[in-house]
Amino acid sequence: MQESEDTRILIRYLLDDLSEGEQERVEERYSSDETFYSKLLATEDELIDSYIQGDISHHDRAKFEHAYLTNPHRRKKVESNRVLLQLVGNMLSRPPLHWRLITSLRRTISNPSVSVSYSFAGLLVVALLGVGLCWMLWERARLHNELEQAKSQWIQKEKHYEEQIAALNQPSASPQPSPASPDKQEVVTADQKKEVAAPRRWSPIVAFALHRDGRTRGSEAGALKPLVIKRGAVLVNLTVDVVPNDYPNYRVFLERAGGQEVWDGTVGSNRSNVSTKKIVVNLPATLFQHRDYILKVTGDSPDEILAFHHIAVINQNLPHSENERTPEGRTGETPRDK
Amino acid sequence: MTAGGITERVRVVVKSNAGEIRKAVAGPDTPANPPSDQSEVSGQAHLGIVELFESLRGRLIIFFEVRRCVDPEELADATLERVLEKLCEGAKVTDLGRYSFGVARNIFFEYLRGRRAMRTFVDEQNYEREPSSDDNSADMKERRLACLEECMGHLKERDRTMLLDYYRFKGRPKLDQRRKMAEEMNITREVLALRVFHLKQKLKKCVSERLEEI
Repeated sequence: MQESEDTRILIRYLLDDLSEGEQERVEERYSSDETFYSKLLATEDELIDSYIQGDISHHDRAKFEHAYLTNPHRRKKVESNRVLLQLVGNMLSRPPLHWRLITSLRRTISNPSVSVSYSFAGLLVVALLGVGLCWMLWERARLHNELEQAKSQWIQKEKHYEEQIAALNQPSASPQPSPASPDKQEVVTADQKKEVAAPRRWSPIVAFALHRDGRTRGSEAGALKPLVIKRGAVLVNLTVDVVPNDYPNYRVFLERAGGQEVWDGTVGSNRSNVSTKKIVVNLPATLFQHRDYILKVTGDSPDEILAFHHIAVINQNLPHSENERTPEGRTGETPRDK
Repeated sequence: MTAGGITERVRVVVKSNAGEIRKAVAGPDTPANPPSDQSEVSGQAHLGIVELFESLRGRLIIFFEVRRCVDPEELADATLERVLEKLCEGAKVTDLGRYSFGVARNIFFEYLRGRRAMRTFVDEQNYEREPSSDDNSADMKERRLACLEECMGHLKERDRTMLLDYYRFKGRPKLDQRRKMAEEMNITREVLALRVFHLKQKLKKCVSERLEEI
């Protein structure tokens, strides 16, 4: 309560509304009391603010104007406070930040020159987004198609492998079917050639080495031993000696003794040493019947014969029949090397 | 004459006679812990006395303002010079403030008696007919407003918020708002008013400096 009483007295002092004695007492107090002096300053400041904002009684208003507005030094104080309150009022009446941003944006858009630029920029952005989206969709469709193709190929291969496994697991009593007609050319597809070129571990293979002197593996010099394809064999592996040369690949021909071609293919060089080169040919056992065959290896030109073998074949997978064998073809002499 | 502070002349007198002044002034406002080393008197030790006289000057200005003197600053400076003169002559003062106000009353009476010669007291009616100063022109107001806005930006967030909340309302809501603010800050309303006043003084000082730079 004392503080409110002090405030009232100070207001009256500032408006020159005290008696001389009261005035002296107030002055005596604030001349040496720092706290009371600070209170005087704050009270004057609030008095000025109240006048500016109209929160002052009519009586005090008249006294204030007479005391303050007629004095240039005091009028400066009033003006200084007025400017400050005006700024505070502006800040208080300012809309929230997000509203100011929206208003600023509206103002920018409504500006014709600016809105055209923004329109173009906006259209460009939309166009770029559209192009990007279309590309993504197209890429997605392409990848989806590739995936589907890969899946179908995988399924086909699996089926093929399963069939081969099933065929191998069947008992050997029923031999491999021979070609439909002796007169028909046997067609070995590329897949079959690939398969025989890389025999699986589980495929029964019979292997023969055909030397340059006409011997077969295990035979004595000068003797032509027939190649016996054991029952159950699926693949016939032939290792053939050829004369030394620089050919990276060779043409291999399998013909019947009468000259009819049974099979031909291109094979790469396997090993090489100083005196001979060897090539390896893998052929399905189903190609062979009980007959004599000519195996010929050439270079680029079919006339350049690098190996020539007359082989007699007995295929135990087929029913034995003397009618299948041809009278010629037992000599098996290797032509002289060039 | 400096704005809002003692004159350079007074500052020089205080600096060169700080020792004598300190000896002469023994009142409650006298700065404590006088320097033991005499060489410090002419150095930074006199600053306490300078601050004392600056505070005294502010009180004297109000004294002359209440008496409707046109140029209270000049009269306050005149009072201080006379006080310093007396102190340097050897006068012993127990309460510098009371002593100074006594001198101020004498000066006021002298100027009332000799106002024609001093030209420091202007008739109120004549004063109203004086042309408005440049300080009140529209351009100056705009500049001051711009400087003030810049200075507000330099305030701490809590100070800015306190100031805005203090003036948010008018009339009765204003009183309620200020009472609520004082309660939240655990201070009296008068202390709150004082804090706001010091904040505004800080802003006004900032504005003055900005206006001088322009």
